[in-house]
Amino acid sequence: MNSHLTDEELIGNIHRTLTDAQREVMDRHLTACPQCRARLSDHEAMQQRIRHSLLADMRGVQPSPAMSFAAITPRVKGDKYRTFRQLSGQLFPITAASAALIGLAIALVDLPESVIRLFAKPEPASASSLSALACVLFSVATVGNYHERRFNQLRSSLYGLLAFIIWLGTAVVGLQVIAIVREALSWLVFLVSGKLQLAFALGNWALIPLGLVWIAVVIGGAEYQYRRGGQRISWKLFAWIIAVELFILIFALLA
Amino acid sequence: MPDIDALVQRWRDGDERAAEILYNHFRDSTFRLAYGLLGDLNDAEEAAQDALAYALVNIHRYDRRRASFSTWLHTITVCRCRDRYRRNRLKKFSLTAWIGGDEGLSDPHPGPEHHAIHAETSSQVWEAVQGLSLPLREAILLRYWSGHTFREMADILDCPVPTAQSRVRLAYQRLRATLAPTELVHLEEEESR
Repeated sequence: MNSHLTDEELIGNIHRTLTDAQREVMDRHLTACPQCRARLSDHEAMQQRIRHSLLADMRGVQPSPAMSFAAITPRVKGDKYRTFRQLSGQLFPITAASAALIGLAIALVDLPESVIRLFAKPEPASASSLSALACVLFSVATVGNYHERRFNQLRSSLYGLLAFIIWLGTAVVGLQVIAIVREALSWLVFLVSGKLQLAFALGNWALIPLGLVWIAVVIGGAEYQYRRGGQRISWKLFAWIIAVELFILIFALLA
Repeated sequence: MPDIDALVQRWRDGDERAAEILYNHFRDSTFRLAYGLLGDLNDAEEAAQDALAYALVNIHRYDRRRASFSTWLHTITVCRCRDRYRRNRLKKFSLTAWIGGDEGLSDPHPGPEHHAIHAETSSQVWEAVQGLSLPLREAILLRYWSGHTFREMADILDCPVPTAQSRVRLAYQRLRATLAPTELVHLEEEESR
């Protein structure tokens, strides 16, 4: 036998992480290779040692008598807001979905203005309050899913729908953000150089890298959400995108 | 073995006795999981108590169609332990030492006094597990001690299934390297012949 099984393969075997095809190939090899069989036995023995030792160690540990139901009774029984919590837990999915839908509708209303601004001459960076409002509504839909409480949330198909709405909405608001950044860059160049034509030209050229960034975030974000849909980290990504967009929009509103 | 689903429903309906039975049933296992993750008795008790209280107060959030009660409880416990672990690391961080160019962060793992107090859990395997990083410790405890499937682990740890699998494999490799380094050298010599 020229080649033996690697440690990775043997470890995958004992942890049952191999595919059926991989296991079949491995079983065939093990039948003919006593050395690999011995190594597999070593791994199995080590695994058993770790498992048994952990079980024995953990069994020997007891909490103190202070850890009792009586200690948490005031917190459990005295929960005056239990009904409110139950109700809010049931209402939250509806609230999140409504906020996301309204946010998307507002963002779409603002979409024509965003597209026009992208192709028009840059003006002093200003922002539409509608896009900022849409971002605030998206953050309402996102923030409740951000924390640990995954198990009480929507079923995965509704999760996917909510994620899609927020993704689409942030993409639309992103166009407004690109327009604002472009305008800000143009006026920055104008302030430095004093040449309006140069500022306009650079502003137009800046659309290319900004557009590429937008495409990368939209497409990359879509793939990321598709792969990690429903997990806390996907809501974290939404939260960051919304935070950045909201920051730029509010900055432009106040400027 | 009590009927957990029935107890959960009774508690939802307001039967406080059911809450107490649930608490007593999961008390030890929740504490042991927290102890395995944090390595400190006091921290483990506080984290476990917090997790159990949270679970009972928010029982309406539990959906048995998505996971078993123990999986849900373990999710809460792991989150609480992570929060406590981060808080403890911040507390032990010495800004003066950091500015002074020391190696930096204080060792977040238990010090010598821990070994003296917790002699009953000072087996070689235990010490090796406590030497793992928190993500790997979570993976090895949930798989080897709690017996969760990779799917359940992915839900608890909030990561994809392949990530849960690779953490368990990596944790095992680290433990093996710590527990049997001489055996590893011997095996490598055998392979090279």
